[in-house]
Amino acid sequence: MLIKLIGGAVIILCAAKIGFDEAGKYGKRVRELRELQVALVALKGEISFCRTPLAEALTKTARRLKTPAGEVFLAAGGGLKDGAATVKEAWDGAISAARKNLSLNGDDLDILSAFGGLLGMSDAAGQLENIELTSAKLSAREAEAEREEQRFAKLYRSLGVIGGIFLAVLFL
Amino acid sequence: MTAKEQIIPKLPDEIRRLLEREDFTRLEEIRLRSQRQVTLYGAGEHKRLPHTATRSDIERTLQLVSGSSVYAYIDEIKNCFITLEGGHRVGLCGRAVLHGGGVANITHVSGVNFRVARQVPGAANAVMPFVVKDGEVANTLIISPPQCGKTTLLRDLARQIGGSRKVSVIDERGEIAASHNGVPQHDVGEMTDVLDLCPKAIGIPLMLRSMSPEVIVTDEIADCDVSAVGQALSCGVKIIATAHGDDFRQVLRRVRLDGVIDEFGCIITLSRRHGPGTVEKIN
Repeated sequence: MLIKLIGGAVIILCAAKIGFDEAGKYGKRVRELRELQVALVALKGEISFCRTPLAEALTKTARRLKTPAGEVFLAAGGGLKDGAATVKEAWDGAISAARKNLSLNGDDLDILSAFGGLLGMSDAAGQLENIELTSAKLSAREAEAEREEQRFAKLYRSLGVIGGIFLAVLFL
Repeated sequence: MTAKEQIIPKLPDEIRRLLEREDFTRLEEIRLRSQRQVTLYGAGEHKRLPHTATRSDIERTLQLVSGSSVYAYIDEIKNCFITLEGGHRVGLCGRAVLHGGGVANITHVSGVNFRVARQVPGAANAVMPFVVKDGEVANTLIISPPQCGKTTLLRDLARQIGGSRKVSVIDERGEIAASHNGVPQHDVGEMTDVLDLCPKAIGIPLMLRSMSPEVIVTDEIADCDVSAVGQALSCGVKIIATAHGDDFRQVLRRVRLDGVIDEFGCIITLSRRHGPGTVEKIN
Protein backbone atom coordinates (compact mmCIF):
# COMPACT_ATOMS: atom_id res chain seq x y z
CA MET A 1 0.00 0.00 0.00
CA LEU A 2 2.85 2.33 0.90
CA ILE A 3 4.41 1.73 -2.49
CA LYS A 4 1.08 2.53 -4.15
CA LEU A 5 0.83 5.77 -2.19
CA ILE A 6 4.38 6.78 -3.08
CA GLY A 7 3.70 5.92 -6.74
CA GLY A 8 0.51 7.99 -6.66
CA ALA A 9 2.35 10.94 -5.14
CA VAL A 10 5.04 10.69 -7.83
CA ILE A 11 2.38 10.66 -10.58
CA ILE A 12 0.68 13.72 -9.08
CA LEU A 13 4.01 15.59 -8.73
CA CYS A 14 5.06 14.77 -12.29
CA ALA A 15 1.72 15.80 -13.78
CA ALA A 16 1.73 18.99 -11.69
CA LYS A 17 5.28 19.75 -12.91
CA ILE A 18 4.19 19.36 -16.54
CA GLY A 19 1.22 21.66 -15.90
CA PHE A 20 3.38 24.29 -14.15
CA ASP A 21 5.99 24.14 -16.90
CA GLU A 22 3.35 24.68 -19.58
CA ALA A 23 1.86 27.55 -17.58
CA GLY A 24 5.36 29.01 -17.07
CA LYS A 25 5.86 29.28 -20.82
CA TYR A 26 3.10 31.91 -21.00
CA GLY A 27 4.86 34.03 -18.37
CA LYS A 28 8.20 33.56 -20.08
CA ARG A 29 6.81 34.64 -23.43
CA VAL A 30 5.49 37.88 -21.87
CA ARG A 31 8.89 38.55 -20.26
CA GLU A 32 10.76 37.86 -23.50
CA LEU A 33 8.48 40.16 -25.49
CA ARG A 34 8.99 42.88 -22.89
CA GLU A 35 12.73 42.45 -22.95
CA LEU A 36 12.88 42.54 -26.73
CA GLN A 37 11.25 45.97 -26.56
CA VAL A 38 13.86 47.11 -24.03
CA ALA A 39 16.53 45.76 -26.36
CA LEU A 40 15.12 47.78 -29.25
CA VAL A 41 15.26 50.97 -27.15
CA ALA A 42 18.93 50.25 -26.38
CA LEU A 43 19.65 49.52 -30.04
CA LYS A 44 17.90 52.74 -31.02
CA GLY A 45 20.27 54.70 -28.77
CA GLU A 46 23.31 52.99 -30.24
CA ILE A 47 22.17 53.73 -33.79
CA SER A 48 20.72 57.22 -33.46
CA PHE A 49 23.19 58.86 -31.07
CA CYS A 50 26.37 56.83 -31.33
CA ARG A 51 26.14 55.53 -34.92
CA THR A 52 27.75 52.35 -33.57
CA PRO A 53 28.33 49.80 -36.35
CA LEU A 54 25.78 47.00 -36.23
CA ALA A 55 27.98 44.12 -35.00
CA GLU A 56 29.08 46.14 -31.99
CA ALA A 57 25.61 47.65 -31.40
CA LEU A 58 24.03 44.17 -31.29
CA THR A 59 26.69 42.78 -28.94
CA LYS A 60 26.38 45.79 -26.62
CA THR A 61 22.58 45.42 -26.57
CA ALA A 62 22.88 41.69 -25.79
CA ARG A 63 24.90 42.47 -22.66
CA ARG A 64 21.93 44.31 -21.15
CA LEU A 65 19.53 41.38 -21.58
CA LYS A 66 18.90 38.50 -19.22
CA THR A 67 16.42 36.22 -20.99
CA PRO A 68 17.37 33.99 -23.97
CA ALA A 69 16.32 36.97 -26.16
CA GLY A 70 19.86 38.25 -25.53
CA GLU A 71 21.26 35.16 -27.27
CA VAL A 72 19.73 36.31 -30.57
CA PHE A 73 21.47 39.69 -30.38
CA LEU A 74 24.76 38.17 -29.22
CA ALA A 75 24.85 35.49 -31.92
CA ALA A 76 23.82 37.92 -34.68
CA GLY A 77 26.49 40.43 -33.56
CA GLY A 78 29.10 37.65 -33.48
CA GLY A 79 28.11 36.41 -36.94
CA LEU A 80 28.50 39.91 -38.39
CA LYS A 81 31.81 40.55 -36.66
CA ASP A 82 33.31 37.53 -38.38
CA GLY A 83 32.37 39.23 -41.65
CA ALA A 84 31.22 35.95 -43.13
CA ALA A 85 27.50 36.64 -43.14
CA THR A 86 25.04 39.27 -44.35
CA VAL A 87 22.75 40.79 -41.71
CA LYS A 88 19.76 38.69 -42.78
CA GLU A 89 21.83 35.49 -42.67
CA ALA A 90 23.38 36.34 -39.31
CA TRP A 91 20.06 37.41 -37.80
CA ASP A 92 18.00 34.44 -39.03
CA GLY A 93 20.81 32.05 -38.03
CA ALA A 94 20.81 33.58 -34.55
CA ILE A 95 17.02 33.22 -34.26
CA SER A 96 17.02 29.54 -35.25
CA ALA A 97 19.94 28.80 -32.91
CA ALA A 98 18.17 30.45 -29.94
CA ARG A 99 14.73 29.14 -30.87
CA LYS A 100 14.73 26.11 -28.58
CA ASN A 101 15.46 28.31 -25.56
CA LEU A 102 12.84 30.91 -26.45
CA SER A 103 9.18 30.78 -25.42
CA LEU A 104 8.13 33.02 -28.32
CA ASN A 105 5.67 31.55 -30.81
CA GLY A 106 5.94 31.40 -34.61
CA ASP A 107 4.26 34.76 -35.21
CA ASP A 108 6.55 36.51 -32.70
CA LEU A 109 9.57 35.01 -34.44
CA ASP A 110 8.24 36.17 -37.83
CA ILE A 111 8.17 39.76 -36.53
CA LEU A 112 11.77 39.38 -35.35
CA SER A 113 12.86 37.88 -38.64
CA ALA A 114 11.23 40.70 -40.64
CA PHE A 115 13.05 43.20 -38.40
CA GLY A 116 16.37 41.58 -39.31
CA GLY A 117 15.59 41.88 -43.02
CA LEU A 118 15.74 45.69 -42.83
CA LEU A 119 18.55 45.94 -40.30
CA GLY A 120 21.65 47.90 -41.26
CA MET A 121 20.99 48.75 -44.88
CA SER A 122 19.60 52.28 -44.63
CA ASP A 123 20.37 55.59 -42.95
CA ALA A 124 19.72 56.16 -39.25
CA ALA A 125 16.20 57.53 -39.87
CA GLY A 126 15.26 54.37 -41.79
CA GLN A 127 16.70 52.22 -39.02
CA LEU A 128 14.70 54.09 -36.37
CA GLU A 129 11.49 53.61 -38.34
CA ASN A 130 12.18 49.87 -38.52
CA ILE A 131 12.84 49.77 -34.77
CA GLU A 132 9.70 51.75 -33.93
CA LEU A 133 7.50 49.65 -36.21
CA THR A 134 8.85 46.42 -34.70
CA SER A 135 8.46 47.82 -31.19
CA ALA A 136 4.80 48.63 -31.85
CA LYS A 137 4.20 45.12 -33.19
CA LEU A 138 5.94 43.54 -30.19
CA SER A 139 3.94 45.68 -27.81
CA ALA A 140 0.69 44.42 -29.39
CA ARG A 141 1.97 40.85 -29.09
CA GLU A 142 2.84 41.49 -25.45
CA ALA A 143 -0.72 42.62 -24.66
CA GLU A 144 -2.03 39.48 -26.35
CA ALA A 145 0.49 37.29 -24.50
CA GLU A 146 -0.62 38.79 -21.19
CA ARG A 147 -4.25 37.98 -21.94
CA GLU A 148 -3.28 34.42 -22.83
CA GLU A 149 -1.24 34.14 -19.66
CA GLN A 150 -4.23 35.16 -17.57
CA ARG A 151 -6.52 32.73 -19.39
CA PHE A 152 -4.32 29.66 -19.75
CA ALA A 153 -1.58 29.75 -17.09
CA LYS A 154 -3.99 29.02 -14.25
CA LEU A 155 -5.80 26.48 -16.40
CA TYR A 156 -2.61 24.50 -17.13
CA ARG A 157 -1.54 24.56 -13.50
CA SER A 158 -4.93 23.22 -12.31
CA LEU A 159 -5.05 20.76 -15.21
CA GLY A 160 -1.66 19.37 -14.22
CA VAL A 161 -2.59 18.85 -10.60
CA ILE A 162 -6.11 17.54 -11.30
CA GLY A 163 -4.89 15.30 -14.14
CA GLY A 164 -2.23 13.90 -11.79
CA ILE A 165 -4.80 13.18 -9.11
CA PHE A 166 -7.10 11.56 -11.66
CA LEU A 167 -4.32 9.29 -12.95
CA ALA A 168 -3.22 8.40 -9.43
CA VAL A 169 -6.77 7.46 -8.44
CA LEU A 170 -7.09 5.41 -11.63
CA PHE A 171 -3.95 3.42 -10.83
CA LEU A 172 -4.78 2.98 -7.17
CA MET B 1 48.00 43.07 -39.46
CA THR B 2 49.27 43.58 -42.99
CA ALA B 3 47.34 45.45 -45.68
CA LYS B 4 46.59 42.09 -47.32
CA GLU B 5 45.07 40.68 -44.13
CA GLN B 6 43.01 43.83 -43.65
CA ILE B 7 41.68 44.10 -47.21
CA ILE B 8 41.07 40.50 -48.33
CA PRO B 9 38.26 39.70 -45.80
CA LYS B 10 36.29 42.64 -47.24
CA LEU B 11 35.94 40.99 -50.65
CA PRO B 12 33.62 38.23 -51.92
CA ASP B 13 34.98 34.66 -51.75
CA GLU B 14 35.96 34.23 -55.39
CA ILE B 15 37.92 37.49 -55.58
CA ARG B 16 39.42 36.65 -52.19
CA ARG B 17 40.84 33.41 -53.59
CA LEU B 18 42.40 35.19 -56.58
CA LEU B 19 43.95 37.88 -54.39
CA GLU B 20 45.48 35.39 -51.95
CA ARG B 21 48.18 34.75 -54.58
CA GLU B 22 48.93 38.43 -55.25
CA ASP B 23 51.81 40.38 -53.83
CA PHE B 24 50.51 43.42 -51.95
CA THR B 25 53.81 45.19 -51.41
CA ARG B 26 53.57 47.24 -54.62
CA LEU B 27 49.79 47.18 -54.96
CA GLU B 28 48.07 50.58 -54.95
CA GLU B 29 44.50 49.85 -56.02
CA ILE B 30 42.00 47.01 -56.44
CA ARG B 31 39.11 47.98 -58.70
CA LEU B 32 35.77 46.26 -59.03
CA ARG B 33 33.48 47.54 -61.77
CA SER B 34 30.13 45.96 -62.52
CA GLN B 35 30.37 43.52 -65.46
CA ARG B 36 34.11 44.17 -65.94
CA GLN B 37 37.15 42.25 -64.93
CA VAL B 38 38.63 42.94 -61.51
CA THR B 39 41.74 45.08 -62.02
CA LEU B 40 44.82 45.64 -59.88
CA TYR B 41 46.99 48.76 -60.19
CA GLY B 42 50.46 49.20 -58.80
CA ALA B 43 53.76 50.84 -59.73
CA GLY B 44 52.27 52.31 -62.92
CA GLU B 45 51.06 48.96 -64.25
CA HIS B 46 47.69 47.27 -64.28
CA LYS B 47 46.70 43.63 -64.20
CA ARG B 48 43.31 42.08 -64.98
CA LEU B 49 42.22 39.15 -62.85
CA PRO B 50 40.28 36.27 -64.46
CA HIS B 51 37.02 37.22 -62.76
CA THR B 52 34.22 39.51 -63.95
CA ALA B 53 32.67 41.43 -61.07
CA THR B 54 28.91 40.95 -60.87
CA ARG B 55 26.34 43.21 -59.28
CA SER B 56 26.04 40.83 -56.36
CA ASP B 57 29.86 40.83 -55.93
CA ILE B 58 29.68 44.59 -55.53
CA GLU B 59 26.71 44.47 -53.16
CA ARG B 60 28.46 41.83 -51.05
CA THR B 61 31.64 43.95 -50.99
CA LEU B 62 29.64 46.97 -49.81
CA GLN B 63 28.08 44.95 -47.00
CA LEU B 64 31.45 43.62 -45.88
CA VAL B 65 33.13 47.01 -46.11
CA SER B 66 30.38 48.79 -44.15
CA GLY B 67 29.92 45.94 -41.65
CA SER B 68 26.30 45.96 -42.91
CA SER B 69 25.88 49.31 -41.14
CA VAL B 70 25.17 51.90 -43.80
CA TYR B 71 23.84 54.31 -41.14
CA ALA B 72 27.20 54.27 -39.33
CA TYR B 73 29.16 55.29 -42.43
CA ILE B 74 26.57 57.43 -44.22
CA ASP B 75 28.63 60.62 -43.77
CA GLU B 76 31.56 58.90 -45.46
CA ILE B 77 29.35 57.30 -48.14
CA LYS B 78 27.99 60.76 -49.02
CA ASN B 79 31.58 61.67 -49.88
CA CYS B 80 31.95 58.46 -51.93
CA PHE B 81 34.29 56.58 -49.63
CA ILE B 82 34.49 54.35 -46.57
CA THR B 83 37.67 54.05 -44.48
CA LEU B 84 38.75 50.57 -43.45
CA GLU B 85 40.81 49.43 -40.51
CA GLY B 86 44.41 50.20 -41.46
CA GLY B 87 43.43 53.46 -43.16
CA HIS B 88 42.71 51.89 -46.54
CA ARG B 89 40.06 53.82 -48.42
CA VAL B 90 37.30 52.29 -50.40
CA GLY B 91 36.09 54.70 -53.09
CA LEU B 92 32.49 54.25 -54.26
CA CYS B 93 30.77 55.19 -57.47
CA GLY B 94 27.11 54.80 -58.37
CA ARG B 95 23.97 56.89 -58.49
CA ALA B 96 23.92 59.97 -56.28
CA VAL B 97 20.71 60.63 -54.36
CA LEU B 98 20.36 64.37 -53.85
CA HIS B 99 18.65 66.06 -50.94
CA GLY B 100 18.71 69.69 -49.88
CA GLY B 101 21.33 70.60 -52.47
CA GLY B 102 23.80 67.95 -51.31
CA VAL B 103 24.43 64.26 -51.79
CA ALA B 104 22.34 62.26 -49.30
CA ASN B 105 23.44 58.79 -50.36
CA ILE B 106 25.07 56.77 -53.14
CA THR B 107 22.87 53.95 -54.42
CA HIS B 108 23.22 51.38 -57.23
CA VAL B 109 26.95 51.24 -56.57
CA SER B 110 28.64 50.12 -59.76
CA GLY B 111 32.29 50.72 -58.99
CA VAL B 112 34.39 50.06 -55.91
CA ASN B 113 38.03 51.04 -55.60
CA PHE B 114 40.20 49.79 -52.72
CA ARG B 115 43.14 52.16 -52.26
CA VAL B 116 45.87 50.55 -50.22
CA ALA B 117 47.08 52.98 -47.55
CA ARG B 118 50.75 53.38 -46.99
CA GLN B 119 52.19 55.80 -44.52
CA VAL B 120 55.55 57.29 -45.49
CA PRO B 121 57.33 58.11 -42.23
CA GLY B 122 59.97 60.70 -42.94
CA ALA B 123 58.16 62.19 -45.95
CA ALA B 124 58.45 65.60 -44.29
CA ASN B 125 62.14 65.34 -43.30
CA ALA B 126 63.24 67.64 -46.13
CA VAL B 127 60.81 70.43 -45.21
CA MET B 128 60.96 70.12 -41.41
CA PRO B 129 63.82 72.66 -41.01
CA PHE B 130 61.66 75.26 -42.82
CA VAL B 131 58.45 74.47 -40.90
CA VAL B 132 60.08 74.38 -37.46
CA LYS B 133 62.64 77.19 -37.24
CA ASP B 134 64.52 77.89 -33.98
CA GLY B 135 62.05 75.72 -32.09
CA GLU B 136 59.08 77.73 -33.43
CA VAL B 137 56.47 76.28 -35.76
CA ALA B 138 55.84 78.55 -38.75
CA ASN B 139 52.34 78.92 -40.19
CA THR B 140 52.64 76.72 -43.24
CA LEU B 141 50.71 76.41 -46.49
CA ILE B 142 51.38 73.41 -48.73
CA ILE B 143 50.36 74.01 -52.35
CA SER B 144 50.12 71.14 -54.78
CA PRO B 145 48.07 69.65 -57.59
CA PRO B 146 46.29 66.34 -56.80
CA GLN B 147 48.37 63.15 -56.42
CA CYS B 148 51.57 65.02 -55.57
CA GLY B 149 51.78 63.84 -52.00
CA LYS B 150 50.47 66.82 -50.06
CA THR B 151 48.38 64.73 -47.64
CA THR B 152 51.32 62.36 -47.08
CA LEU B 153 53.53 65.37 -46.33
CA LEU B 154 50.89 66.92 -44.05
CA ARG B 155 50.44 63.64 -42.16
CA ASP B 156 54.16 63.31 -41.56
CA LEU B 157 54.39 66.94 -40.42
CA ALA B 158 51.57 66.20 -37.91
CA ARG B 159 53.44 63.08 -36.76
CA GLN B 160 56.77 64.84 -36.29
CA ILE B 161 55.41 68.05 -34.74
CA GLY B 162 52.86 66.07 -32.69
CA GLY B 163 55.76 64.22 -31.06
CA SER B 164 56.50 67.22 -28.86
CA ARG B 165 53.63 69.69 -29.24
CA LYS B 166 49.86 69.64 -28.80
CA VAL B 167 48.48 69.25 -32.31
CA SER B 168 44.83 69.16 -33.37
CA VAL B 169 44.03 67.65 -36.75
CA ILE B 170 40.72 68.72 -38.28
CA ASP B 171 40.27 65.89 -40.74
CA GLU B 172 37.27 67.01 -42.80
CA ARG B 173 37.73 64.41 -45.53
CA GLY B 174 39.16 61.74 -43.25
CA GLU B 175 42.37 61.53 -45.28
CA ILE B 176 45.02 62.75 -42.87
CA ALA B 177 44.50 60.32 -40.00
CA ALA B 178 42.17 57.90 -41.89
CA SER B 179 40.12 57.22 -38.76
CA HIS B 180 38.16 53.97 -38.56
CA ASN B 181 35.41 54.10 -35.92
CA GLY B 182 37.10 57.18 -34.45
CA VAL B 183 40.57 55.65 -34.12
CA PRO B 184 43.33 57.17 -36.32
CA GLN B 185 44.76 54.40 -38.50
CA HIS B 186 47.90 56.39 -39.37
CA ASP B 187 50.48 57.55 -36.89
CA VAL B 188 49.77 61.28 -36.60
CA GLY B 189 51.87 61.92 -33.49
CA GLU B 190 51.89 61.13 -29.78
CA MET B 191 50.29 64.42 -28.76
CA THR B 192 47.87 64.76 -31.65
CA ASP B 193 44.08 64.91 -31.32
CA VAL B 194 41.92 64.20 -34.34
CA LEU B 195 38.47 65.63 -35.06
CA ASP B 196 37.20 63.34 -37.79
CA LEU B 197 34.91 64.32 -40.69
CA CYS B 198 34.11 67.78 -39.31
CA PRO B 199 34.01 70.82 -41.62
CA LYS B 200 37.00 73.07 -40.91
CA ALA B 201 34.91 76.23 -40.39
CA ILE B 202 33.14 74.47 -37.50
CA GLY B 203 36.02 72.27 -36.33
CA ILE B 204 38.75 74.89 -35.93
CA PRO B 205 36.82 77.03 -33.35
CA LEU B 206 35.68 73.82 -31.57
CA MET B 207 39.26 72.53 -31.19
CA LEU B 208 40.49 75.99 -30.11
CA ARG B 209 38.02 75.97 -27.24
CA SER B 210 38.21 72.33 -26.23
CA MET B 211 41.71 70.99 -26.85
CA SER B 212 43.94 74.11 -26.46
CA PRO B 213 46.18 73.13 -29.40
CA GLU B 214 49.53 74.76 -30.18
CA VAL B 215 49.27 73.74 -33.83
CA ILE B 216 46.21 73.06 -35.99
CA VAL B 217 46.69 70.80 -39.00
CA THR B 218 44.06 70.68 -41.71
CA ASP B 219 43.74 70.02 -45.43
CA GLU B 220 42.41 71.82 -48.49
CA ILE B 221 41.34 75.18 -47.17
CA ALA B 222 38.71 77.07 -49.15
CA ASP B 223 37.04 80.49 -48.94
CA CYS B 224 34.60 79.39 -46.26
CA ASP B 225 37.43 78.36 -43.92
CA VAL B 226 39.42 81.60 -44.04
CA SER B 227 37.65 83.28 -41.12
CA ALA B 228 38.16 80.20 -38.90
CA VAL B 229 41.86 80.18 -39.87
CA GLY B 230 42.03 83.89 -39.01
CA GLN B 231 40.46 83.16 -35.63
CA ALA B 232 43.08 80.49 -34.86
CA LEU B 233 45.92 82.80 -35.92
CA SER B 234 44.60 85.61 -33.73
CA CYS B 235 44.74 83.21 -30.75
CA GLY B 236 48.42 82.59 -31.41
CA VAL B 237 47.80 79.04 -32.63
CA LYS B 238 49.92 77.94 -35.59
CA ILE B 239 48.26 76.61 -38.73
CA ILE B 240 49.56 74.00 -41.13
CA ALA B 241 47.22 73.63 -44.11
CA THR B 242 47.16 72.51 -47.71
CA ALA B 243 45.56 74.03 -50.80
CA HIS B 244 44.91 72.62 -54.26
CA GLY B 245 46.76 74.44 -57.05
CA ASP B 246 49.83 74.51 -59.28
CA ASP B 247 51.38 77.54 -57.63
CA PHE B 248 50.89 80.28 -55.05
CA ARG B 249 49.29 82.74 -57.46
CA GLN B 250 46.70 80.24 -58.61
CA VAL B 251 45.72 79.52 -55.00
CA LEU B 252 45.41 83.25 -54.23
CA ARG B 253 43.08 83.68 -57.20
CA ARG B 254 40.82 80.88 -55.95
CA VAL B 255 40.93 81.33 -52.17
CA ARG B 256 40.57 84.81 -50.64
CA LEU B 257 43.50 84.53 -48.26
CA ASP B 258 44.39 88.27 -48.38
CA GLY B 259 43.64 88.87 -44.70
CA VAL B 260 45.76 86.04 -43.36
CA ILE B 261 48.42 85.27 -45.96
CA ASP B 262 51.03 87.57 -44.37
CA GLU B 263 50.98 85.35 -41.30
CA PHE B 264 52.17 82.33 -43.29
CA GLY B 265 55.94 82.12 -42.84
CA CYS B 266 56.42 78.97 -44.90
CA ILE B 267 54.83 78.24 -48.26
CA ILE B 268 55.75 74.91 -49.84
CA THR B 269 54.94 74.06 -53.45
CA LEU B 270 54.91 70.42 -54.55
CA SER B 271 54.85 68.62 -57.89
CA ARG B 272 55.53 65.08 -59.08
CA ARG B 273 58.39 65.96 -61.42
CA HIS B 274 60.66 63.45 -59.66
CA GLY B 275 57.81 61.30 -58.32
CA PRO B 276 55.12 62.29 -55.78
CA GLY B 277 56.29 64.67 -53.08
CA THR B 278 58.86 66.60 -55.16
CA VAL B 279 59.42 69.92 -53.37
CA GLU B 280 59.43 72.63 -56.05
CA LYS B 281 59.76 75.72 -53.94
CA ILE B 282 59.82 76.84 -50.31
CA ASN B 283 59.16 80.54 -49.59
